[in-house]
Amino acid sequence: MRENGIPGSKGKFGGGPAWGLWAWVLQRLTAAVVVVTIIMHLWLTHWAQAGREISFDEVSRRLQSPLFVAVDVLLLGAALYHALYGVRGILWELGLGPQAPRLFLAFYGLVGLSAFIYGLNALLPFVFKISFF
Amino acid sequence: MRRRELWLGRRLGAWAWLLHRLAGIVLALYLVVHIMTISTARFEDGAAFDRIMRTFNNPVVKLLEILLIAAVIFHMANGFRVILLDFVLGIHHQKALLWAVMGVGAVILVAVAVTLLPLALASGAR
Repeated sequence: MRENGIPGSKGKFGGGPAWGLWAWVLQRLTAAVVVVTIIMHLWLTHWAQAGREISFDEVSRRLQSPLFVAVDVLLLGAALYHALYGVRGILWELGLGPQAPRLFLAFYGLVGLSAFIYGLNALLPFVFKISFF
Repeated sequence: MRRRELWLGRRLGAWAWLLHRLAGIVLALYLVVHIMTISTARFEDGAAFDRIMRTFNNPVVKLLEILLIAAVIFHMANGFRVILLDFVLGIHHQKALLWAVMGVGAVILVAVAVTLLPLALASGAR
């Protein structure tokens, strides 16, 4: 177990901007975004379906509305950030994964960005009937 | 570490901390599986996606989905408590606060299960 709380925060590694603090604030903000968007997401995919089976055509029709696409994209981004922040904290405490601040940001940034792009790609067939990979 | 320090015992806050992390890990893993499942939409003009959705349309998966929603609600309810504690709100009553958010969470879970299960079972019968 390590003593330091927030990875990348001022103190452990000396000066520089307190990114760790902002990362922590963003963790709370994304939590709020996830709460709002996950309720809409679940409502639209379950209750609003009124027991009908989820189908490609049905989802595709719903995702012709930019508002519903925005809900899913917001949920994807916020949930990914929130999840990765949580996982990195757990790994950090166990002494696993990258520990140096620069490598830390690069590693989790890359994982998060790849997952975000993969998630967006999954939405494309519903919205435009295309996908890149 | 002595043995009684390893077992959380009656330390409610420690249990909340542990369960919050476990639920978080489960939800993070679900997110990955969820996006992978949705990604099947790019095959066969959506026919592959429809096939997977049909496979998921059975009582066992519906039950697992309710458990998943339970994990979400627990994580949300305790997360709300954690944010209150961040602002030093209710810090001297953190155990009572835990019971309070768990109570509200339980009510929401029952409401979700009672309204969602009949819909799920109706669609499964089709």
